[in-house]
Amino acid sequence: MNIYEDYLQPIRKAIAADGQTRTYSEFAGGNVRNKINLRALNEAMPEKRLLPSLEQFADAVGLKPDFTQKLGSHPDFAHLKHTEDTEEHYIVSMFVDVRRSTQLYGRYEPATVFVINNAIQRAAIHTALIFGGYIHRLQGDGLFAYFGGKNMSIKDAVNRALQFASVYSYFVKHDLKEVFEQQGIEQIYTRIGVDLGYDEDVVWAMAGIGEISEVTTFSLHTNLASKMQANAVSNGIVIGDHIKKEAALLQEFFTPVCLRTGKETDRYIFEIPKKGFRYTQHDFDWLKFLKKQDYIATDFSGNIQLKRKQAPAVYANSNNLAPIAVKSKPYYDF
Amino acid sequence: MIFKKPTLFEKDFAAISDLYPKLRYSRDEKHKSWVISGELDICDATGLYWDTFQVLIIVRHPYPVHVPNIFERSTIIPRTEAWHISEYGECCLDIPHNLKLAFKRGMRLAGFMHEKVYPYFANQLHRLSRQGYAGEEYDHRFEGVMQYYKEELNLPTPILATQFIKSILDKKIIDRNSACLCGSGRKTKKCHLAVLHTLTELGEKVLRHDLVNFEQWEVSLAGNN
Ligand SMILES: [Zn+2]
Repeated sequence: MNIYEDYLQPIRKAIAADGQTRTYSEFAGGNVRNKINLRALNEAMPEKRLLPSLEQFADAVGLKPDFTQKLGSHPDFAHLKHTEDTEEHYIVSMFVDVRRSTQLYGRYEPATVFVINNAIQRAAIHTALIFGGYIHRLQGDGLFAYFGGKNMSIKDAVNRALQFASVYSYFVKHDLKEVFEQQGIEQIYTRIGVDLGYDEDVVWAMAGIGEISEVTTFSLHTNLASKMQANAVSNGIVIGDHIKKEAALLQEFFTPVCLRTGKETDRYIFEIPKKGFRYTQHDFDWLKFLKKQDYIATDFSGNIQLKRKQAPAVYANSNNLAPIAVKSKPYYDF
Repeated sequence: MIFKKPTLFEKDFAAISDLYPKLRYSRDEKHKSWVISGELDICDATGLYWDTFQVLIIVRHPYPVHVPNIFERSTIIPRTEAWHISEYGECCLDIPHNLKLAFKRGMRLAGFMHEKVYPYFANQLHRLSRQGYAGEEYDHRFEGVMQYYKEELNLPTPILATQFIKSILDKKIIDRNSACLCGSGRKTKKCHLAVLHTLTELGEKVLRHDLVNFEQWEVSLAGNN
């Protein structure tokens, strides 16, 4: 599945140019070079347009991204800004952490690292937008996003959050990893935590003062999402019990974290023993989940592929069916 | 909760779920079989997606003995004999002899799907894209069986085939070092020894069936002359 190909190109180019331009940048001065790269980056990867490879993905999923949203403000609750009002409304919170070795900084010029950073972020942002997510904050290569809102059911929000988390994990685990491995940089992986707070669990309100303020959630479950992220394995996703509860058809993809670690103390991410409140955390088998999606096909070798909407004649060559098809020698006797 | 130990079929099914994630199975007690159903996505050798077939596969108990029956429930393949599919969508993947031998020699669900089912559907898509079939076809009905004897067993004439089948059915003891039945003048071990083993493996039921057909064929030929 090459849906991120157009986001990987700028990374490859930046890496390829890295050593060769060192002399040039010494002459030109760091600032000039950074500007050149930023402009080139914006041309190669516009902020507010999906690149063609990801556009095909959005098309296959049947969703269109909303590019009007601003970083840090969920539009359904933006009206709370500079007010003392609060609102209770459900939300799915997600923390995506992209871990990579600090090797990258020692190895490449800052401008190259900048391009890599931006490409990874844009791939994340664009994918989140396809699934109707709201980017609340960017953190290095990672992000903190909300899914859901006033015009979306809880079930849809949960489902879309899981779709985003799965597709993005796939991107880092396969596509990005491959690019870096060719450079001898082995460690790059995601860890994702997701949780759902119901209306009664979540307060939306202003935080901060004046200009240094934002509308955000005050919720145990936003905190738990962040904590569960830290409990995920490399390229893993850990979700809270509310997510499991709202995803009735996805039960086969969840297993309590304690079954992986073998430690009963890992079963709950949060407990208030006096109240008898225990909240379970689960590993989410995102690859298995992804393989069941209508827009995903599994190929002859077991890799996942995009089920494009166009007729195969548009993008494929039947000569490539032959190596598999030639093994068939059909008969007829009915 | 009661945990039942998974059967061999269930274990084999679980093992292929990575490759065929959109298939599921159920048990049909009445017909003593497992029923696999769902979507089969076909991609080409470069991984590009082509099409999705709705399929139904009947695996009779005990597993893995019988060759499964497979039906296309979508109607992507034209329902004519020339497309190796019955009007009810039953797919004729291969000559039954080959399938039977494959299962006798240890083919399981994974091999069946990967070596027989997937290539059959990929081949249909190859033909649907106006390229014809990628490989060879068997002739239909008994002509296909004769083709099998000729191409796979090196028994090119009904007379030779009949002679070999009879020698197995009569349980004649064949000396590896004696002259081969086919009349080539070579020793059996340097000629049709493997074929004799294959015929034995096919079993009496198949051989008797083929024998009747070969004899009728000769009679009909004689009648035409
Ligand atoms: Zn011989």
